[in-house]
Amino acid sequence: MKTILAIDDEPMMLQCLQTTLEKEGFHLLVTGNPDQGIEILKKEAVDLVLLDVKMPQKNGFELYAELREFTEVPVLFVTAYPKALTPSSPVFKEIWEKGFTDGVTDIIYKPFSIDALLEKVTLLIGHADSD
Amino acid sequence: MPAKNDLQHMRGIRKILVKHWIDLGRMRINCRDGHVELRGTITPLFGSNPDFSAEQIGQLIAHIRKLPDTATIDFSELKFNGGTNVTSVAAAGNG
Repeated sequence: MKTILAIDDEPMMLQCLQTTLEKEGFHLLVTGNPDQGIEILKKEAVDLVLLDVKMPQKNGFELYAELREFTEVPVLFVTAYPKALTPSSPVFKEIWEKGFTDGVTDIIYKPFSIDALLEKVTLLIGHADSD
Repeated sequence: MPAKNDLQHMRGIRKILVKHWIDLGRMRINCRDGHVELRGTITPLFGSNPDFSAEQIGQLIAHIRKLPDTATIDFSELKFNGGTNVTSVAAAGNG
């Protein structure tokens, strides 16, 4: 079974992701605290991170840079703010040119359909029970 | 359920879209046995480019067609420049 870690400051979003993805056979770990997310990633075998971009404690891009220091785990950015993803931001430009080109990073915009979410997850890590 | 080859095919298409600075959050990609289905809107990533021209869209589709795994492409549900259907570009002979 594949494990997905969702990091988002909205409890409702975490609940929605957990319910939807557990129904599809994934094991979900959830947290609203970015630093706790990093701790989980250091301890647990995680196959995919669903990462909110705009969180009060820490920007999703900063968190991405932190986790890339010790893991190549695929990341799906989940955001309601498409304008945050712009090449004029040097941090995002670097993420786009490395992570997105390597196929280990993707984006989905809130609100999204369950089908769209499952397509993105499958594209990054395959199905819950695949190798 | 996409097979392993289908996933690799989808990732190949994604790389082409990334190279063109296309906003992946607005597009959905599906591949099955060489058949590609693209849905949503081809939008440049915010602040990267002005809207795409019909010629650029034609070139993009041509790149996807050139992938060895691509047999057919369905872009009937794919739009660009705020509503123009990509099918019209392909029908004009650019795709």
